[in-house]
Amino acid sequence: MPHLAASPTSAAAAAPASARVAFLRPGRVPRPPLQTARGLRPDLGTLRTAEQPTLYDLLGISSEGTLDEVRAAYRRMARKYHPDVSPPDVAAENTRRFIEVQEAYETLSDPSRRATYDRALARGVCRLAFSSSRRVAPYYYQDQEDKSGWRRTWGDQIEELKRRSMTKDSEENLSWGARMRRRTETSSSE
Amino acid sequence: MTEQLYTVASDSETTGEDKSQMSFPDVAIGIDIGTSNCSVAVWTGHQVDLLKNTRNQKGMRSYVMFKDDSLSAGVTGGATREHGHEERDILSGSAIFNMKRLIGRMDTDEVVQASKSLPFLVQTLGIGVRPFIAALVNNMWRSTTPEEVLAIFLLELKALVEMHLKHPVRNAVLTIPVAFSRFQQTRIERACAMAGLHVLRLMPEPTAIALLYAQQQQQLLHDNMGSGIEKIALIFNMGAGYCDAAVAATAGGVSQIRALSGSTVGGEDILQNVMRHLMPDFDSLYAGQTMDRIKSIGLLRMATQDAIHKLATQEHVEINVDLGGGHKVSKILDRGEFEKVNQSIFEKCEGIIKQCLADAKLTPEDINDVILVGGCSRIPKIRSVVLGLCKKDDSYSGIDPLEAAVSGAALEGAIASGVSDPSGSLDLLTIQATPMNLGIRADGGNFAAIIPRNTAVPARRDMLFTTTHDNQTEALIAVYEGEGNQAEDNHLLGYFKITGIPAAAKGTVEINVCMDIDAGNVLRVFAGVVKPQGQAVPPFIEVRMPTLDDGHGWCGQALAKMYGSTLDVATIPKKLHP
Repeated sequence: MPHLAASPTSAAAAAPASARVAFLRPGRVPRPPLQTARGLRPDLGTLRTAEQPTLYDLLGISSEGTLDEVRAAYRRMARKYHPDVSPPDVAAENTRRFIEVQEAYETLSDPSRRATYDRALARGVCRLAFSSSRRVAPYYYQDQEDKSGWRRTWGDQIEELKRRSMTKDSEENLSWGARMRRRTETSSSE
Repeated sequence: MTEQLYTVASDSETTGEDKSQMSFPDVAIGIDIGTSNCSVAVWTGHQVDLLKNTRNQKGMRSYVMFKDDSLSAGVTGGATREHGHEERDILSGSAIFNMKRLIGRMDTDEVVQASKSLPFLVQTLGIGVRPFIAALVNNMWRSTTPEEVLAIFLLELKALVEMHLKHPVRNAVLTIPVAFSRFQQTRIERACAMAGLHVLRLMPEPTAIALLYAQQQQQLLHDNMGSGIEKIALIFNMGAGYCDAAVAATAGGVSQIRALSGSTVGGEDILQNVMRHLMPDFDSLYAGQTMDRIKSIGLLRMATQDAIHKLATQEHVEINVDLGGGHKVSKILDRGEFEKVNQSIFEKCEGIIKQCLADAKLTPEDINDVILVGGCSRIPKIRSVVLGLCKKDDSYSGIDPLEAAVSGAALEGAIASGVSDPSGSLDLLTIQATPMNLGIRADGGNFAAIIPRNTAVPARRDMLFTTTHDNQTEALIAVYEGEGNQAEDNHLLGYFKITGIPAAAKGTVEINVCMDIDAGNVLRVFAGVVKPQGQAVPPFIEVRMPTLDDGHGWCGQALAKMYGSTLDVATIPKKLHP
């Protein structure tokens, strides 16, 4: 499995704290999607020195934004990133972003989930606001013609999942949305 | 087929068409294949136009007539004949109709069973395979399939469009019922392929209507009449074969589908209920099709249909029909009686709307507009049920109940083909949602949903599973779609095996199953062993669903018989919070 080889190199090259980010790089093949992302959302690169945007950053609103602002921002982002309205050359990257935006919207448009998220954010617990998108998204939505590319990127994802499952506290590694879903499921099944 | 069989909707628009042809020749057309009626619409460059056939109809009867060696579909359908005569022809056994109810269903399906009272031959053996259907040609049953019938119809429809647009047509957006399984969707795609059409999108019917509504709201905004605030619409669509509901949140040209629900219940069921009410010994009288019986059923069907239509505006209707062979129906049917006979159908409609509202987490007070569409929306009881549940006095009036779905499909066709309109009338987006849970069989016969219904599309979700036996080296991933808690209550879409799992104690291996739906609604399932790590772990696997052809029920049972629980997987128990 050639895709496995990418992991040790990237892990070795990176400082432990940013292993997650370094790990992502091999998946991001020659195209410069990071640049594109910054270009589309300039606030992310400048406002936050940490690598993790909050859900508010994803929607491009302040943390005081009202429900109407959340909805309006979601629609604005959907108009920008939904694959139906994206030019073909960026459709794959935009699909990934759309799923991120969708997850941010689902959390922030639900008052109780948003309140929990806000509390966690204030405590700094939720600095990994969007680990799931990092875990999931960047790899798969590569160009369809880049067959070896997607295979490698899926491999990366598996690799990441393996890494994730090694850590004790698996919930910490879930995305906020996934964690909330899990809690909802747990509470509803009780 | 010769040119003069078709007329163009409007001759005066010839110049406009030429222009549109040059600027976007590949714009997908919109098709609404109804159980009873079909229509087709195109984006002409500035608006959506419904096309008419030679008889000046926008809604064309859905059937294919088998006569000698010639076939003709409802698009042209006996161009010069009068309506009554033609309906009798359609019910003579020589025509196949209701394809949309039959397509992609097994002979154990109750919808197929109920279709046995149709004038053409629907033969079932009840073993979970495709039913045998046939049309009467020169006193012989000639076999065909629902896909084939639909393809013949679509071929004629395509010819009509090409006649109108004066250039070949390749791409189409079709509307489908919410209740259609992914397997049925593949049958529609196959029928389209047989007719030379490429399916750009299959759009649940109420979402096409939501798109049209979004466009109208945008228009109001441009005219400074709208407020720009998010509006919630409940869309209820009931035709001859299916009933769907959707809740859509609309603002700024974005139509977000919050919830979808639907069921295979429609005008055909109402018709059959009333026929059985009028002829209590219907089933024993009409068991086994002879020429007399076919003719007799046809007469009863027409009389019943007519009565139901009249009951939309009248309090009671007189039915007088001689069915031949000494059977006569002479009865006055009033609306109360009609509603009592169809009580169960109205209850199903209620259930669909309640589920839709609950899924969208909305109360009736949240709804701004109720949009009622489809042929059955004319039935007073249906209107009162829907409006009552939504606590509204009247429905939204800006949408034609019979033309909305096809217009929405044509709009989506233009948008998905990349057409942009300077006036901004195509500045629209629909965010679709999955109508049914998607998941795999786990924990014995249970169904573990990985992508729950009403998840926004495109979507990607994953879940971890583990082995159920010590040293289990292979695991079966059986993918299902549906609402049941038990896997077998759902539609089996396909299955595959993960092999070479490293030997380990049960419950220690972690298998990741990831489901991905792209913007084109294609479902892919990825699976791989993520724990333990190491070189011994087999490569992951990607499977595009559905993989199955016929015989859903069979496969599930055959797998269970062959492997028992040896290849089962289990969900990983949720970890306690630290």
